[in-house]
Amino acid sequence: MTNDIIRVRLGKIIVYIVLLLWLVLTVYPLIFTLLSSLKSQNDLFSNVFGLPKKIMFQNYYDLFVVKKIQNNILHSLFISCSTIGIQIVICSMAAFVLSRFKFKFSNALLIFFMAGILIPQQSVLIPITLMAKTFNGFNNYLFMIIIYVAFGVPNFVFITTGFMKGLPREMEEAALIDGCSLPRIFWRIIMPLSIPAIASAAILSFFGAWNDLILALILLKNDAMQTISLGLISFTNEQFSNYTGQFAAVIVSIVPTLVLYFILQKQIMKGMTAGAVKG
Amino acid sequence: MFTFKQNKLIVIAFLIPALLFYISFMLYPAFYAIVLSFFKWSGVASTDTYFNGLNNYILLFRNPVFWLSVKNLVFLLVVSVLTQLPIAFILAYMLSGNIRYVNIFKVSYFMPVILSATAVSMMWKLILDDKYGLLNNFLRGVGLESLSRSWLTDPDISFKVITLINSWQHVGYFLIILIAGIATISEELFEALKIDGAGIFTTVFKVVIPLIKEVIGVCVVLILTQCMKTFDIIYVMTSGTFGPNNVNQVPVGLMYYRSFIEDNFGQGSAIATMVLLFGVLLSSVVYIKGFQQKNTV
Repeated sequence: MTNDIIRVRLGKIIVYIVLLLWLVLTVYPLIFTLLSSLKSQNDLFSNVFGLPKKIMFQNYYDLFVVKKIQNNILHSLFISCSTIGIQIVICSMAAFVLSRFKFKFSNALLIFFMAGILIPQQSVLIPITLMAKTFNGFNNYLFMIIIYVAFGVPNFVFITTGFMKGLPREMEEAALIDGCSLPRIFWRIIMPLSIPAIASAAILSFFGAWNDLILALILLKNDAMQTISLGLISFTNEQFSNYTGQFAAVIVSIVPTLVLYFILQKQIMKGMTAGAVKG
Repeated sequence: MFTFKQNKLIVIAFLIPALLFYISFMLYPAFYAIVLSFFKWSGVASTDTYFNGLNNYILLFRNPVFWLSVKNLVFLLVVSVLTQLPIAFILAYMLSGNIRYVNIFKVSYFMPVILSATAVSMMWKLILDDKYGLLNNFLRGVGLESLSRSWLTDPDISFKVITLINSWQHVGYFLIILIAGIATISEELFEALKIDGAGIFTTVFKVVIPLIKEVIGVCVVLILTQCMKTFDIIYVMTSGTFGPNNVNQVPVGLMYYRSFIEDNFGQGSAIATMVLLFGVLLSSVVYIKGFQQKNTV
């Protein structure tokens, strides 16, 4: 009996050790990045692992005052927020119709939308470049936003339609009997009830646009218009020997994402794993 | 309740915006990419465009760099599945037991997934730096200097390192999916197994894995599609060169190079078409299955 208890205890200890090891492997690189960003170059070279001898905000000062990285952040914020703004309206409208109406092609239409999830975005970049030429899409945020919206439509419609299908119908039926118009029912009843699903889908789209590199690489040739991803890359290219500055740039670029993540972790995890597990 | 006949106009008006975006900037370009792959086309400014039959594909198949990129992709696919799946499963299984602070673990493990691959790669590039990087300094510190390497510029190991960093970033995603999968197994079953004195291996291999094999299948496909799209991480880690000498090249990177650096849109489209077909084929397995389940249950 005591042997069993020891075995169970030992098992537990091993479990915690493994979990902690992976925790360190996941989190330590980020902590190391943060610490290094607060060091002077000499401090980093002589003291790679330790805490900063003196906490220096010089790197951040340089990033914001000299490099003006806040512009890159604003560009990315503008693009990402506009993208999800448009998506929230158009995809919820489509999802509402797809979840509430039965017509000849309603099911086929949902499958048609979902087919887009299968298309790797990189495979459409060349035609999009040709379109950019026709529609003056280079160095043009509006064009980029349109593309990001289109890329996100299938997944957004998929997540929101699934959720709306599961909503109880009593309220809308009552509203309908009271003579409420369809657009009003959509806006006043369906939209507010669907906020969890819309939030999940919107955050995913936000990250998609915020984290994108390749489309920005192709479409933005004007240095003054760079997004955060491009800004990061051009910063490393310009200051390839400024290690601590690069660490600071990494931190600046991930802070907005991390803030969002810590506020909305549940929705984010749910949204990203939706559809993978039945139910 | 709502009838289509009475609301035809509204239904159509509600569908049109999403359809318009989706068709014009996703579906149409996808088909156009396939068409372009049969044409000789040199870049955005080109006027000299003509039907080229299968020439783009033939030239591509004769090019050793293409096969190198395919070889790298296969390596990436295989190693990613073999590293991410077991690690994700072991951690997910452990977290499904009676563990304190589960949420701290989950939130931390998932964190790299949402970070931009650009930032993650830059971070690792600094950590793996020859001289001032964390890893080489650590190896020197513990007397293992002989193990220190130019992790990202040594052609023998750079792609292996990139593969592992990519796995590091995405393990958390599959971990969360697997936790959700394991949670669908009933508590009573685990209780019964315990009473029967079933060992950990019996429990895992004879019960848990068979019960969640569909979830594991979804994970495999998601890993494969994610790997196929891997671009940012290699672009950043190799400073945009995919080299030295293309040793870290993958099909998507080659597509980017052919199309946007060398202005060879035809060959670029041929690669894009293969990426498209491969991606659609792979993920349709999962989504069609998932869709059928959703509709039948």
